[in-house]
Amino acid sequence: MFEIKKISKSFGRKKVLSSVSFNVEPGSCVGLLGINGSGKSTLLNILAGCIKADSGSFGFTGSGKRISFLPQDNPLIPELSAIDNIKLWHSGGNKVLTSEYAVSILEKLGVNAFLHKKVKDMSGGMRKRLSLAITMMEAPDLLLLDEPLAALDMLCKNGILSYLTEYRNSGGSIIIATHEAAALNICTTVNILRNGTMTVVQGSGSRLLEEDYMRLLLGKDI
Amino acid sequence: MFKRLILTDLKRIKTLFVPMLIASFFLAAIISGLSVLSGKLLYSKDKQEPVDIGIVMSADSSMSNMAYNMVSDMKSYSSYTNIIKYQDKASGIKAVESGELKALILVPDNVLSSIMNGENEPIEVYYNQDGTLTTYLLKDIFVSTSSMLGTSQAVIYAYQRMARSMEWPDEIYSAMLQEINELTINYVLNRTDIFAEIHADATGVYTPTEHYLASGILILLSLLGIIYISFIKNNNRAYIIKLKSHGIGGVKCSVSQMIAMTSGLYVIFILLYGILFIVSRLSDGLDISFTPWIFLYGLLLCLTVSLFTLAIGKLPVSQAAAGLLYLCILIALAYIGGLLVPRNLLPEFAGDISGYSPYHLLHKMLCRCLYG
Repeated sequence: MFEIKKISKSFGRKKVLSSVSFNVEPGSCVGLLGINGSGKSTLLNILAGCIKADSGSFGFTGSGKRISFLPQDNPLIPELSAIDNIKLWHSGGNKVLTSEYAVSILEKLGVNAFLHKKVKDMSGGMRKRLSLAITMMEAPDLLLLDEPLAALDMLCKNGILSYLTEYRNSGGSIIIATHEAAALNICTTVNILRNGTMTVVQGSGSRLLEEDYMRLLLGKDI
Repeated sequence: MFKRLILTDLKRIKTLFVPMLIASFFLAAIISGLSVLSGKLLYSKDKQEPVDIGIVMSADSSMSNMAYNMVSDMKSYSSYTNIIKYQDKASGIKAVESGELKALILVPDNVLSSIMNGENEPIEVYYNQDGTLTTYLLKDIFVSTSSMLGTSQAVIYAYQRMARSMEWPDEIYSAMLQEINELTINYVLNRTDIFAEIHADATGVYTPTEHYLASGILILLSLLGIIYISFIKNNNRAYIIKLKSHGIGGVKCSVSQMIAMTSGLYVIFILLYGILFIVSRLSDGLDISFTPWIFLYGLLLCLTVSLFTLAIGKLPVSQAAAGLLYLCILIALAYIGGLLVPRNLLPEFAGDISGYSPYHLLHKMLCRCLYG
């Protein structure tokens, strides 16, 4: 299990996160909802180790220690090919692409079809799938996703969501920051970030109606 | 991860290598051509244009014409000025006022006899008051000429007094006087004939070609740094965030970029040096020496350019703004360092700080490596 305890963060005078706490069980997916600027990306950056929280702690209890983070924009180098981008993030040189685990990820996400293509020549969907493949190849116990479905077409979204569902069902944990209603369907718990504080909505995200979603975001009870 | 980052950055630099190679050969061709021509274009004696000065005198005065011939034959005038005859004072002064002439000399008809008699009829000189160095030098030449004439005058008078006091016969007196005049004119007025001319380049120990070739190499490599600004700027936020999540902060990222940029520049520097060395062996115009120090120097030069590029690239401005800033600073540093204008010819304020400019030091070291 991954525990987050009383995380707080301020930027100057603005308090972005105030004592945020929740747990992520293995095989679960926690959705982070909130309007723009509510602190979703900040929380994910803290959990990924990119920035330091002002207070609070987080970590695995029991087994599990690997966290992988996929930021909102694709962390890819445009002038290099997919293979070269993969090799940056994973050791092993050319062998990294031949391991069974890597091959399965690349196949499931359809990255095999454009391994030698330069990133600048890829579509948005291809780039997102490549970014996700690079992240998944780290074999994470906890996957942090910041708006993974932004600017993707329906087909691409469904492909990624079905892959994430499979990952969750195999015991992986996910924290996903999203605006997308489609992404909420794979969430086992939905947490709302509003004015720096978090409200936990128990139950699967798919049960939330869009109207409920809006009411929660605007601070009204369902 | 850090090792993989360096390898990845080297791969990225490789994608820029071909455009850089093309750019460097293009620039190298221009710089080499200009360097070879620099001696002729900039500091050649052939490029010196004579200064026009006018002379007004009576056309039918043989004495005036003799004075004219005497002055125009003087090396101190003929090497520097172009003497033009004018018929009248008014047109001459108009030419001075319009800038056609730098100066106008009005020679009285009885100029020589007045000198001989000690009456010293004034010779009017009109200058164009443009405040230039040329006018200043002209005034100096005229004053010097007057002094020389005065010296010859003194010699002649001394002779005359001696002849009178010794009561020489008129024939001997006239013959000796003529000889004294000729001797005085030949020795006093053409004194510059015995000056030994030593040719010293403004570029110091090295010829203009050698100086500007070294300057060109420095400027070429520095200009290639502008291409690398895209390499530094072209990293999106997500990439930087993910690097941080893997323990690669700003410092390690910068070090990796420096290594990649220095490597790319170094390859081009060695190629350039190799080509220059081969060309120098095949032609007579250039003599490039070989020293193992060139490899260490090349590394130092490429590191300096990479550091400069990194500093500009990390500024929080757009890529275009960074490129422009890079160019402005480069030109200023190149000027102060004596790459564009030799240090000896820089204005005083620039000459004082030139010694501290990194380009001055790099230029000095490169010349030693290339030419010994």
